[in-house]
Formats: sequence, structure tokens, C-alpha cells
Amino acid sequence: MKQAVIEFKNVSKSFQTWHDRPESLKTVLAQMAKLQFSSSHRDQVTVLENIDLQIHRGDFVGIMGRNGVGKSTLLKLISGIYRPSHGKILTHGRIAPLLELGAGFATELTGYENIFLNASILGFSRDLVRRRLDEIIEFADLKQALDQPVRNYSSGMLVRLGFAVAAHLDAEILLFDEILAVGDVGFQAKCLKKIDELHAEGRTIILVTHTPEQVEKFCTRCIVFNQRHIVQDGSAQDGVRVYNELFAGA
Amino acid sequence: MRYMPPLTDYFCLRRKFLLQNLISRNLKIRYRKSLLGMMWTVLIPASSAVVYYVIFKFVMKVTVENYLLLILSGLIPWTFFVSALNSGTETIVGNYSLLNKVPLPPQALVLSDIMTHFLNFMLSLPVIAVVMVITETVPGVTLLQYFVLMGLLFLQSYGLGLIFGISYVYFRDMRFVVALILQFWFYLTPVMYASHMVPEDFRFLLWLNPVGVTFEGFHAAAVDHRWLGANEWLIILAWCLGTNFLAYGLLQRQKYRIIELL
Repeated sequence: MKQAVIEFKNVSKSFQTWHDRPESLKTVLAQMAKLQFSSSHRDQVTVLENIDLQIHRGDFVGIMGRNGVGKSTLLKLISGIYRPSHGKILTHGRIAPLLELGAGFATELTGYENIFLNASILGFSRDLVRRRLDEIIEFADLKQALDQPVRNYSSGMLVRLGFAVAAHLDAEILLFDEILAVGDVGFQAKCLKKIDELHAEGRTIILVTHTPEQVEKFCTRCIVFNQRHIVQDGSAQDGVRVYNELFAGA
Repeated sequence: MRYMPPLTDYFCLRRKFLLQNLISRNLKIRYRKSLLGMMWTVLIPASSAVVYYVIFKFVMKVTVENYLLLILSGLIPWTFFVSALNSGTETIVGNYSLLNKVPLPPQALVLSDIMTHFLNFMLSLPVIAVVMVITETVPGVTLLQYFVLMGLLFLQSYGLGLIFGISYVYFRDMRFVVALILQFWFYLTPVMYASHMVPEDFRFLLWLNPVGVTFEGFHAAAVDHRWLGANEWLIILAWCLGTNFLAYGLLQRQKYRIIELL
């Protein structure tokens, strides 16, 4: 039995939406004056409901489902940005939460300086960045542009640098959220190849994607979400089939 | 989230590399394209000190000894205090997209901003030394208190900055409220005047001011060569601890909610 590195125990996540959330002091004071403390009606929107899930070391999981079905919320729960409304989440191992490549890049700083900034924001140590610096620079393949402020970078270059940092930091679990939609085809292929290598080294990969071909080619497991629940969890082929039946035909 | 001891969590002691990078980012953004660079940090409080000095000394004829030193030794920490509170208020909301994509302790953003301003504060201290030389003031051992008070003002600013920063997520007019508060606060705090110039009956108000006694202390240390009494230290400490306990409590209750609300 492989070890579970991520475990969801009956997890639900709901958000409060406020119809007229008091955004300013004025509104609050006005409400207090009218003694309407609870007037702004709050609605609960449940995004994920009673999710039980185990992801094992070395899994390459493709997450599929329509927009707004809770895929990003799932990744945010795993990485600890959100806390579940109910249930429990256990994780083992260091997580690289790549919900966005190049998180926190400062436009005025050079590419080189942003490598350190980005790695520190993702929670990695200085020693690790120093050790992997050459590999990061080589993979990003930015040449002289590395000493330019990233303000001058194209979106493709930004993604390249962001991915290079993220992929070389020895995280045991890597979460990717549709980030490969940007960048040219050649670089996309390079990234997927790198992700596949990381997987081959025994890391756990979770990839949110809308591209069935990616799932079929790389994933060992596919989970399809629909209406707050997991509707399919199994092989990549089965996942893609269910996904197509559910969404593509409609 | 794994358990962390309160102090480690509150001061981001496990994220030193992060703090260091955020501070260096702040400094680089601030100074990279400016001609005079760090000089601005010194020039702004120094020039306003000169303006206040001219107006109060020659126009309004204030007869306080060593008035320039008095203004400056108060105005430099005040400049830090104002910048710290302003950026503390705005940084959590301002970094919304980051907090929403990466698990990041929101207090790290506030702390690194305030630390950046504190570095600037330290760099502007030589102005006080220069004025001491010009006015032929011999610094006493009491000046050591100045540095202790700087540390306490830093803590006080962190606590207040966090409280304002978290409130700003809920109330978007917090920024104006802070600006308004600071405007009054400046005149209610002994920055440009010495505390002994305040009529005796009103001096208790100083104790109700979270930084009132602290600024009285800056004057005592730099200008009056006076050691602060135990009761004065106690008041400063009490305000400091009180603010930071409140800030810590607020942070613990709100740190997940603010990210969902942002």
C-alpha cells in the first residue's frame, strides 16, 4: 500500500457571499443606527461537499471539471491558503503551490533577483535556491534578459522563469493550476516533459487542466468534479471518457 | 497548518529568508531609480524640521532651549511611525493577488514593510548627530534610552499596523480614517513641543496616548539628558504589549477569513 501524502476526510468548503456586505464604515454606522445588525443577508455557497480523497506518493493526478466547480478551491485547500469549513485535511511533505507561476514577481527587479524573491515567497530556503540556481537559470533559458527588469519580459518569458524556479525546488508535492495555458507550444512541451521527469523521480503531481490529451498522456489517475462532488476517480482513460460524456457532448 | 509557537508565528521567525527578500525588494523598488536614493529618507524629515524651526522660533518666538534638536529628535521617529502605519494599513489589501495564490502569513507583509521603514529610520539618525554637533550639544549616557525607545516604537507600530491592515480588509475607508487619526495624533503627541510645555492639568492625556510617553522619552533621551522613571517605562511597555496582544488575537481569528474576503 502506497503512502497517502494528501488525505481529505469528509471535507466541505463553503463561502459566505454577502449581498450587501458593508464595505464602508458609513454603511455599518447606518445599519447600526437603524438597528439592522443582521440585515445584510448572507448566503452560503458550497463549493465542495463531503469530499473523501486520498492521494498517494508518486501519483500524477489530473483534475478535470467545468469552470467554477471547485478545482482551484481544492488546490487552495491542499496548499493551506483556505481552511476547510468542515472535515480534515492531512498533508505530508513539502508542497509547491503553483496556482500562479511567478507569484510575487516584482516588476522593477531583474529576473535574477526575482528568482530569490519568488522562491522565498513559495517557502523555500536560501541554501536550496543557491544549490539549484544554475539549473534554474539554464532551464529558464533567458540569457542576457536575466539581468533585465521583468517589467520588460513577455508573458511567455515570465512563465518560463516562474516555472523554472518552481520545478527545481525539490518539493515533494507539486500543484499546478492550468498554468500551462500560457507560453508557446515548444515551451509547454518542455514544461510537461519536466513535470513528467519530476513524477518519475517519485514526486506527487496534481494538475488541473482542461486538456484531455495532457491527462491521457501523463496522468496515472484522473479525478472529475461536478456539482460539488467527485463524480469519477480512476484511470486517466476513464476520467477523460467521463469528462467528455459529461461536458463535451452537451 | 502546523502548530507554531505564538512568538515564532507572530514575528515570522521561520520565514527569515522571506522577510529578507521582501525588505530588499522594498528597498530596491524605492531607491533604484532615484537620483538621491537614500538621501530622501534624511532630507524629508530634516527639511520639515527646518521649516518648523523657522516658524516656531522666529515667527512665533518659542523660547525653548535647543529647539531644533528637540524638533528633530521627535520628528524623525514620527516620520517612521507615520510611514509604518500607512503601509501597514495598505499592504494586506494591496497584496491581495499574492495572498490568494500562495500560502503566506499576512503578517509577514506588514512586518517586512515596517522593517523597511525602520531601516530608513536608522539611516536618518546621523542627522540628529549632525544637529548635535552644530548646536554644540554634548550627548549624555541618557541617549542610550533613545535606541531602546526606537525598538519599542517599532513594536508599537507593528501591532497598530496589523490592526489597521486587517481592519482595512473589512472597511475600505480605513485608509482615510488612519490619515485623519494621524493628523490629530501628531499634535496630541509631544513631537514639536516638549511635554513640560503642556499645562499640568492636561498632562495625564499623554498617558492615554499609545505613543505619548514614548515621544516624551525621545526628547528626554536626546535633549533633556533625563532618565525616564520606572512608571514611564511601565506605561510605554503596557501600551506596547496591549497593542500587540490585541493584534495577535485579531490575526489568529482573522487570518483565514481575510483571505477569503479579499
